Amino acid sequence: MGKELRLVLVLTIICVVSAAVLGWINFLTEPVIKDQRELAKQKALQEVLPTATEFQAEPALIEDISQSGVTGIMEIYRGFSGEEQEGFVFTVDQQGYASVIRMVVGVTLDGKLAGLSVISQTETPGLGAEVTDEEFLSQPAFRRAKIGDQLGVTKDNGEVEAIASATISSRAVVRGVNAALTAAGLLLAEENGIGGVSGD
Amino acid sequence: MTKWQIFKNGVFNENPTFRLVLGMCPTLAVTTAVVNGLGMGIATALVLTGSNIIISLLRNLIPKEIRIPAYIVVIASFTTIIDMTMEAVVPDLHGVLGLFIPLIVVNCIVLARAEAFASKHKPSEAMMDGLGIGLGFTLALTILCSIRELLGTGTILKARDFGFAGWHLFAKDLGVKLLILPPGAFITLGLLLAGINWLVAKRGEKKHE
Amino acid sequence: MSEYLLIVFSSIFINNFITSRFLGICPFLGVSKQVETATGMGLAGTFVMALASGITYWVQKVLVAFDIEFLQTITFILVIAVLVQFVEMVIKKSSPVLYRALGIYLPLITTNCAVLGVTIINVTENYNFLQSVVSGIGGALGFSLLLILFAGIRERLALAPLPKAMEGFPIALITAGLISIAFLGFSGFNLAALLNF
Repeated sequence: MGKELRLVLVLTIICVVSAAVLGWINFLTEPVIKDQRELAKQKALQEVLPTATEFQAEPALIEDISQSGVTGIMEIYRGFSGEEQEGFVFTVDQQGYASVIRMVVGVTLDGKLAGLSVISQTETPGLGAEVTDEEFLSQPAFRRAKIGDQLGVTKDNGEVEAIASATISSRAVVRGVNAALTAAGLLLAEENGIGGVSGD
Repeated sequence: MTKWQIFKNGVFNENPTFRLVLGMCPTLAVTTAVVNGLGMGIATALVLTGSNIIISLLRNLIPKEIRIPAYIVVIASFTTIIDMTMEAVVPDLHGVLGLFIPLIVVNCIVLARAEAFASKHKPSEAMMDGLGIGLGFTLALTILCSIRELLGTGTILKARDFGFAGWHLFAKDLGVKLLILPPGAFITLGLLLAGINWLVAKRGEKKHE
Repeated sequence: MSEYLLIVFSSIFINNFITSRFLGICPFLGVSKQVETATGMGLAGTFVMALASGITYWVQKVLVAFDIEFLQTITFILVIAVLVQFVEMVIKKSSPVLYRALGIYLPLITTNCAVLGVTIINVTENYNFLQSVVSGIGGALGFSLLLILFAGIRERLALAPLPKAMEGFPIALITAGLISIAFLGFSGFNLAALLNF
């Protein structure tokens, strides 16, 4: 009996000490990780809407957008430079080939696509994963896109050059861009109708 | 064995990848680019050295019957520490290596060294063993990555997330894409192992003559 | 229903643990010399992975509730180790036949990264309870399929004359690479469309 008790005791002590050490490390790293994530997010938003310096989340608008049939919009931000609104940034999720592709899309107030970047995906490395590549994301078909356009890959008679042997992943990105453009169109139409960009 | 010999033994004679053929999952999975391989190697080496030291310190306190669960708890703690630290310090690399960082826990190299070496040696020796095996693993991963990245994409040491462009040696389209894809991992490692077996056999023959 | 089928198909053919996710390579290379042992390992693995997926789903719930998600790795691996031990005891008592068939593989499963891997994938993919269990079973089935296929090839390979340096692991890895190329063919499937049809 004494021996078994000792076994349990030793194992318990090891577990408790480990948990305590981990708790302490977690206490040290958690705020840093949080800051890093915040920073990464800020950077991603800035990248797709370079003219804006401050971003404000608009969770209330997401409901309206999804009710009007646009799918995949996860977050909406207004981008400001000082007091002036510069445009919208959307976080969009679309099902790719092996994973959900999450991208951020910036649209300026005059309805042009300002920037596009893929922030998370786990597609096949070397094939679908190339959607993060600059070469794909900065092609003319994307750079020229504006509100009202319905983009498509060349296989579907569109203009976007899909990544070789990764049409499904490429299509997902195109769908994401289309969703963001449509959403921006809706928001702009509504706000111009009310008469002002500042209205919440 | 002197401490230096223990270290050298870990890097060469008992190289975990090429000689012991352990820890294959991360070896095959993350070796698409040199940065990833280096990061994975260093993370594993840190966990290995840390857990080796602690297990060696506790070797007379842990009863034999519960040694495996005790080792696993120690290894899992170090893995989590590395996991959290990497997420705070190098978030991009942490994102790329993803799942394979928590999986260091079940990397057979770490448990094998705890059982076969650390539980029978002094802390200082266990540390040298951890460093040696860790460096051996990192070296093996780096060799494998260099081949795959270079022949697969035509670049070497490309790490955009770290603001390091690397060197472009030839156009991407000329790269053998298969090497970056999963089959390339198996085939490259298979050929490398065969090459090393051949070299070792050759050296053995020379010694006998 | 089709959503579960999608998880099963994609984890068997497209995101196969061995050919594309690189999980469970050690047992794949270690216990695949004979079809019989491969089948045993596959069965034991399927059983444990399905159970582990289900249990860790609730464990994760508890971790989140207490805000101690940083203990995920350590609790999951302990849960798996205890589970394996428990399954071993139950099988030993209830069915000696099954124990003789699976017994020796069970201890190996604790350090099979496919088990810990699938539980963490379930959490990151945000699967619900049923989806987690299905993903565990699907992953394990894909793993078993590959293990048995590979063992069949290796039984033949053992008889083939090879250069000395290629014997053992090198040729096994290259064979695995060739199988993996064959499985790349599945990645052209548009599963969602196939199942909706």
